[in-house]
Amino acid sequence: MIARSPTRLVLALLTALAALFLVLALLPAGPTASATPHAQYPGMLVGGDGSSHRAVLALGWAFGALQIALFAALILFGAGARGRERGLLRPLVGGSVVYLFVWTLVVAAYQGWLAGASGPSVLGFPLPTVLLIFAMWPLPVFYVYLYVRHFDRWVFNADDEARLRDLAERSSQR
Amino acid sequence: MSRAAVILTCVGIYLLICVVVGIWAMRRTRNTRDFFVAGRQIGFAVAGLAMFSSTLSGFGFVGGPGLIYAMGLSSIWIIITTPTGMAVSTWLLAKRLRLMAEVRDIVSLPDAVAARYGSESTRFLAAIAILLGCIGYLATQILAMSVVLQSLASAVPATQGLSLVACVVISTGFLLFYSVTGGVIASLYTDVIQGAIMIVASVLVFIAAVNAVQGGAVGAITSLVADDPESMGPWGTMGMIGCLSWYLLFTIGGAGQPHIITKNLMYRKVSDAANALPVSLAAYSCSALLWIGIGLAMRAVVIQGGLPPLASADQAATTFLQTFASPLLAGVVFAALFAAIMSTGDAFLNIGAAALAHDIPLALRGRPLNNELLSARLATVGLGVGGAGFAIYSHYVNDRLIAFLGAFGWGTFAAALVPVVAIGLNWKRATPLAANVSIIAGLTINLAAELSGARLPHGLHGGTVALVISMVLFIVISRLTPMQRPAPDIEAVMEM
Repeated sequence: MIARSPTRLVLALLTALAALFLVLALLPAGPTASATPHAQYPGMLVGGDGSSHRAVLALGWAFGALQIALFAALILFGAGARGRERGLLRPLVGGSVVYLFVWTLVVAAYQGWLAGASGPSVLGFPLPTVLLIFAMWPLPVFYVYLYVRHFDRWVFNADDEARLRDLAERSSQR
Repeated sequence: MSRAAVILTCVGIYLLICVVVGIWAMRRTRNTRDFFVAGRQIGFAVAGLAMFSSTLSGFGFVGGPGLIYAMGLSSIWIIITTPTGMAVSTWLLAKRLRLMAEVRDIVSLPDAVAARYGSESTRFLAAIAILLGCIGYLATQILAMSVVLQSLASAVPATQGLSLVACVVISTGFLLFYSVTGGVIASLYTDVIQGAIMIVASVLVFIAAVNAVQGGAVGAITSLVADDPESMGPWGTMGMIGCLSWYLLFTIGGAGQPHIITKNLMYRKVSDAANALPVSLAAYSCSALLWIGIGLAMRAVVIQGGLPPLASADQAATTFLQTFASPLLAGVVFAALFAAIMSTGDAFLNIGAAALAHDIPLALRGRPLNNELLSARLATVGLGVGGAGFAIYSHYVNDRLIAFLGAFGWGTFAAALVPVVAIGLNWKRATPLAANVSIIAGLTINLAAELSGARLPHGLHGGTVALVISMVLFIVISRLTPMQRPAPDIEAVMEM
């Protein structure tokens, strides 16, 4: 059903995002909900102890999860019927589930970090930042790989090339 | 030779290269198609580098490190959008735009919009949205280039006392020369040089940044975590919702940036889209090193007591270069900064000139201007001079004006054009009325948010809200209004 009507999926995800914005607008923001000036160094901001995030962590996770679903839905949408019919759906959904899993790990690690848990760090970065920089940032290269590797299969093949030539010829004769 | 003279010489050599490319490209520019879409003869490497260098404006070299200095890791959410943003944009638009260009001889984004919806009013609105965004972006780029040039010139005895107006004239003169003579061909090939300089400079600066801080990278981050752990957390100091709203705006918004997506019209072959994507992504990833490296190094150096706090966060990059980079490296990076500014500036000149000389006359008169190539060149000059005048006016009379229009740019393009282009070119059910409403809604909501200065709760970005609203409006109105089938050739392209 999703494969046949990605527009509905995109609309559902966008509507869910709009609803989430509404909930956020109604949720009271605490005094430390945004950055405050650094006490010692003018021009720098500090984030405080992160306690303000406890109230929005679940909504924040949902915000990120909806975005990941929307990115995948838009790719599916852009691939058109051919891409969907020729097997793009499975790797796309699979890759997006991994992406969602890593995002969940980032949020969970941050929650643990807020609670005082210390995990492995890389270059001195705390664990949630390590996951963000070294896992969540490079992971979507998978979407690029799908496009580049399967261009001939899911995006534009020899039949399309012939149809395009025909269309362009007819258009130049007009 | 003094440090300042070395830097100024590097910038001078770079500017001369741009002039030479302009002269070379002039010989290859014979008609409007050459001027606006390089005759659709651009290979994947050139297109990939051009997309990257148009994306990374002077903001990436000055504003980016400044954001890290001020806010910690928050702005990394703008950088990490790149793989997803480029992929989503390419999946949605690269093939579709290139095919339409072939079938309808399209030379601009509003051309594609008009062909898709069969509506001159949609073309007109898209051209107006592009023109509005262009003016702000262009003036910002010209002013940034002039301010940097003035500060460099003031350090050399021979050029001391050069006024800002003189610097605006010089900067705009170079930018206009190659943009007018060679059109988009000159822009693309200068983009390649500009992109190469940016990549080299970014990698070298990152190495210098690691060496500038006591204890290297680990020492820097340990100091920063000790000072304010949250600043090195995944959301920096801005908070989770603010970062995530940037993530959405910069990922999906990329599919509405006309100075980037129009490059899809220029490929020699459709398959060049597949090869250009990794080139662009790799180049952008390299340049992210400069953004992160300088920002973190400067915040750490100040916290470690190595330097006094900066008067303004935007001085992070220039102070770093003056303090920690060798004269030659500083020269290369300043040339890269000019490259970043000019490559974005020329892209805006090109799409703005297309809107003025091609799309608006077509929408209003139903036929193109008589000598379209000459008109395009004149429109480029007009836009450049207008942008320069606007930059000077804003600097001396109303310093909020450019910042306002510059900030207006990305969000405006995203909210006004993503639904119409990214969704509309892939969905036959989309209607002209929905397109017109979403362009107007995108412009109005962004304008209202910027003018009112209203801050949304939890750091939610106004541009993100505008983007989601205009996309919802577009789909809902399309579903509620009678379907208008696209022209048969466009329908065939949409089915491919």
